[in-house]
Amino acid sequence: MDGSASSERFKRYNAAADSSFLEAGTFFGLPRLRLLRGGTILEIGNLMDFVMDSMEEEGKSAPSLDALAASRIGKRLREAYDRIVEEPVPDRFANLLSELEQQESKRGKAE
Amino acid sequence: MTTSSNTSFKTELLAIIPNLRAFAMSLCGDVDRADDLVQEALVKAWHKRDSFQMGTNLKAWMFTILRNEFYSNMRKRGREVSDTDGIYTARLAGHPEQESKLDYQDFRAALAQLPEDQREAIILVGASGFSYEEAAEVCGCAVGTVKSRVSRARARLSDLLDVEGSSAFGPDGIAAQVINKPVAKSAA
Repeated sequence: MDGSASSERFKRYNAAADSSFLEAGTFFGLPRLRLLRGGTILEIGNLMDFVMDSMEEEGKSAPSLDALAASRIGKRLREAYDRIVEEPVPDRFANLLSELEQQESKRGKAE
Repeated sequence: MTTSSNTSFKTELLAIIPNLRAFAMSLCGDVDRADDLVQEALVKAWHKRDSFQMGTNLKAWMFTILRNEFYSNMRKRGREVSDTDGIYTARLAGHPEQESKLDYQDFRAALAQLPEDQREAIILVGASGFSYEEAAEVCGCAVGTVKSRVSRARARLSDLLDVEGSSAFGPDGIAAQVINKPVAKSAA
């Protein structure tokens, strides 16, 4: 995306965040709004995400770690990852390391 | 190495294992293969532990070893591993308790659609807690390369999740998809 397009989008997001974003017409300026059946608003996407995304594109640089960490993508990524981190660790790894350690100390004594 | 330094090395390795498993899972998308990969990496790390300098970044060192194992296995087995899409799907199907976590499934599926280099970059930086510099070290590439991979991965995930996420809301999904399309002209 070039600078001017991103700047346009940034302005739209800002305008939307301002006051009028609940009006139907402005939904089209907010690609990440989610709708519930029947048209009720279920979740208004995180406006800060849009603003940050736009600001990053504006600066034409990679997202900073902070921006990534704060973004919706970053949050979901960590949630998915943390689910695995929090899973109980199978005993096989502790057993393996103990075995390796014992082999080592036996070899040490033999020498 | 002395017995006591062996023990402290072992203790530090144990502390890294949960993180290592998560990274392994993100590389191969399958829990059994991921654990085999972790095991191989641990054995390798143990045997070359003399080359590790205590006090430096053990986590980055372990991640590097695991990643190298993964890619060297992949070369040995040919390209069969590249079908991560299918593997991810199988893994998801095996977890009925997560059925209600639609968001999570969408996310995993979206993640699986990323090219490997982008996926590992965004995982390392966005989830494993590495700096760009450390991630570059783990992947053996330039810092700028990691940054651009993360950036592309993030943009792609945003696209995938927007469309897939809104389609979950029934008939309005169609409207939502229209809404989700990038606005080409100014929405006056």
